[in-house]
Amino acid sequence: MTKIVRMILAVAMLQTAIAATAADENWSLQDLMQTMAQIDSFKANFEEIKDFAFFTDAVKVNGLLSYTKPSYLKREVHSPYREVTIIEDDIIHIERERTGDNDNSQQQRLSIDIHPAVRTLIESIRATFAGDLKVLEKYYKLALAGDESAWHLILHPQQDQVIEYVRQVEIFGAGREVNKIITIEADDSESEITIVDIVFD
Amino acid sequence: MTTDLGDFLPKGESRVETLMVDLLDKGATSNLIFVGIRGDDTEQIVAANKTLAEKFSDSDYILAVHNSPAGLTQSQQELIQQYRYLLTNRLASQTMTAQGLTQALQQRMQGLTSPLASLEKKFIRFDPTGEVLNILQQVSNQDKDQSSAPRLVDGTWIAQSGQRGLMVLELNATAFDLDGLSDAYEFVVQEMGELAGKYQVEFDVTGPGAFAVFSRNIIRDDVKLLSILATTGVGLFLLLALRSLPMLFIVFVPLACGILFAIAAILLVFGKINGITLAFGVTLIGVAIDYPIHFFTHLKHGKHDPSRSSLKLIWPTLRLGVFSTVIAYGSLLFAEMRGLQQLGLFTITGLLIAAMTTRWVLPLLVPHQLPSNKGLSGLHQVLEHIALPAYKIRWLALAATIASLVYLLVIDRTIADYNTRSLSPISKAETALDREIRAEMGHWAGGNLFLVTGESEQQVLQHLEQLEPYLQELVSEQRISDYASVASFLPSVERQLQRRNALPDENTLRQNLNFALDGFPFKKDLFDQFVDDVVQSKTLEPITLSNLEQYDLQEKVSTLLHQKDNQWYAPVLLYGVYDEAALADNLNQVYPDQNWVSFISLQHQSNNIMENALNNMIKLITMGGFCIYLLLSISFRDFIRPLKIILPTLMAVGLTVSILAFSGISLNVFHIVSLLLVVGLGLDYSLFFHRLTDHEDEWSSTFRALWMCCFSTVLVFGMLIISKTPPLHAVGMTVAIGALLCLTLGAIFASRSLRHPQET
Repeated sequence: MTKIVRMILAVAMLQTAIAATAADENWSLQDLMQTMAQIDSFKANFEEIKDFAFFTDAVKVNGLLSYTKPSYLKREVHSPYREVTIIEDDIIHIERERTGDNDNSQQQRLSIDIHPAVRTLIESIRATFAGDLKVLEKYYKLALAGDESAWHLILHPQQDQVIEYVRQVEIFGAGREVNKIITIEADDSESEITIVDIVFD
Repeated sequence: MTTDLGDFLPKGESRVETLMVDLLDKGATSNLIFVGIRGDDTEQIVAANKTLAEKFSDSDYILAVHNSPAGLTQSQQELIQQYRYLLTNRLASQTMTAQGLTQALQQRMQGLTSPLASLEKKFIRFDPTGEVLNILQQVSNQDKDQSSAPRLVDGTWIAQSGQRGLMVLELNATAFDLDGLSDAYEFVVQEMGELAGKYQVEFDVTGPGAFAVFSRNIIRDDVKLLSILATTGVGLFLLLALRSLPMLFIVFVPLACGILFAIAAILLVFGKINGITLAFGVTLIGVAIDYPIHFFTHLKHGKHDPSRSSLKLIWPTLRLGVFSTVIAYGSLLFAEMRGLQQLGLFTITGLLIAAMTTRWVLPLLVPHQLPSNKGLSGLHQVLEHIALPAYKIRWLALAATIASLVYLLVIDRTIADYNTRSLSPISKAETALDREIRAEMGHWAGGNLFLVTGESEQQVLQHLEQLEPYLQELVSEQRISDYASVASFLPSVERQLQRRNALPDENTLRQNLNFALDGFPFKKDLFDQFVDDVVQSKTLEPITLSNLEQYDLQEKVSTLLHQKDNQWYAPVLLYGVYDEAALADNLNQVYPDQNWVSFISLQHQSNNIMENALNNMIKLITMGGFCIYLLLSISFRDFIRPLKIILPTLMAVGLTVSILAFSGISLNVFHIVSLLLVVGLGLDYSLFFHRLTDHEDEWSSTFRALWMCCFSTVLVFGMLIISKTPPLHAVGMTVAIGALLCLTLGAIFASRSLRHPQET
């Protein structure tokens, strides 16, 4: 059900995007990046729906997302479990609430390069927030549609090791606000992050 | 020929010490090179690193390039995957219960919804409890200090400071093949030179492989330059003094014969000769030049068969001098260091052969038409003028010597230097850079370890497992930052069986899994392979060290677990030790009566070994001194006269030590060996001065011989002072000062008994 809704939504947005492109041919990647680069920091609520091929039902996770220029990203999961992930430069720090007496790995510190797909996926979000075209183009082939009031960025990974896992990432936004990030993986697993209540500093 | 300084490191006596020396040796003779790439711009550093790595991997000079964590080979990954339920540090009786599996699935869910989802997806079907990742983490922690390990930028190592890219090269040459190492090193430097213009970076090269090449080059250049300088210097001086070219050649004949036979002797006994032994040995038996000088200056003109008669006159004194020196050098034979034993054999053979050549060959070579040997007579007169009244200050000299020695004792300054590093020609700045880069790489820099022992592989592994909780406690208490133990990837057979026996049977596992799956969105058949694998694992035989061979893992393991003389050793490498002394105390408190684990500080340990070796040598030298006294007593049939001969020599040694100590130089093994030469020279001079008591008429020729001997010695050893090799520099200082003092003191204590013809 959700899939159908999402598809309709995507098609609808794509149409607006195409229409908008026709309206404003001068709106370019550079313009988008310039707009995004003006963000210093923001906080927002997020909801992520993950639907893996081996899942019977999609899983919903929600919490707080915050970003500080140029490379700090914090993802606080409030439900259905509590977890804080901080990505700063090249380090991922994960802190989990104890789920039992026998659980000993509550804190994890990892390199962002632990797997090529990990860095690539993180940069799709972080570099977009930062308006860093150089980084985005390093990992993805980019296509932009729409105009400033409703834009749609499609990212196709370039590295073979990443393509094995990730087919494409789509980012929807308006002005400097990112509203939705959809990731489609190689095995048709999907993840959709919706971002609302954005507060800029 | 070798140039390994390790030959001059003592062999420790206890098993621990032996192991330490082995470790040190290994470190000194490895073929690894560390490359640091410095710059302000990380992108430039990374680009330079990648280009360089590409060039190096194509080259025959280089065996392997590492600029990122070495991935495990396919077979190693398969090994870990296959044996995961035996190798893991967790028990299935906890992880595979309904509750344990619920927790595991909860974690998988979290992982799948985190930025690490790609990783989780790879393992979820067959490994929902996460054992492979768990073991991989244990394995990858082994050779790196996780708290300071470099981060990865774009797939290459960057130090945590961000200012230095890092690379490790394995050169395609064995540690003993110095020429091969040198060629490979030159290639590396050349490639860097070409890149330096393209990128805004600078390169640092360190590591044992580079240091082996540096040392070799420095020692070789030094030896070459110094032997040329010393030979020309002494040659010119003697030419001035002897005023005859043929005589000059003849002077060198005994020395040349001595060196030739000495090298032959070393090759016969030890098989090969250390370059330092050769350089050092040649300088030590340089004293053999004195023999023909004594001989020539005592030649009398116009007498029949001059050479033989004059030689007969001085031969007893000369012989006594040779024997005393041989005894002094002989104490080297009993030293613990192989290099010093070689040196002992070299010098004894050389001296005896040189003396015999002087006695029996030289007379045949001396031409019938003798040249006048009155060269440098102006200098001779001046020196004589000073020497003759010198006896007046004998009490002053004695008082000064005693005062300086007492002062040294009173201020109680450490005058001995036991640090083996100070023997190496590598500069302090270079060793500091090496330590810095090693630390940035998270490499164990050779500081501290717990040595765990056992009578069998399994016993030592069990001991390690016993120690494991304590080690973890040390990390959480921040007494150490990290540790590496073989136990974290090779559990004992006992523990592996424990793990295996805890695995549930298929029905129980399916039941638990079904129970756990309730409430999770996983499809029912997702974990079929997991169940199959667990069932398979129940039939596996435990892994031991010998199994690891087929997976190329043995080398990785061998530093952390090895057997020697029926004992098994497992060093637990400690990173970031906060307080060494406190840690040693703590270990003793926690394991009060255990003899299978001990704390070792490598630096402390090697200093101890050196200290013992030096003390041992001082004992040997003292015994040698007593033997010399006995020899002299017997030959003079008198117990007092030998004391008179020995006194100036002892004073010269004491004053030399004082002068070195006052100029802030700490004494190492090479200073002490040099003092032996000073003893040899001193006795030689003293014996000839003493001989004058009975042969007053020979004052002039004897004194001429002695200052000529002394000056040529000072010339040779003075040259060594410019050497960049600390051992050679040390020898140069000590002997040059010592020889001058021996002549001065010899003259001071001899001249009172002289009634020089001019005075009477």
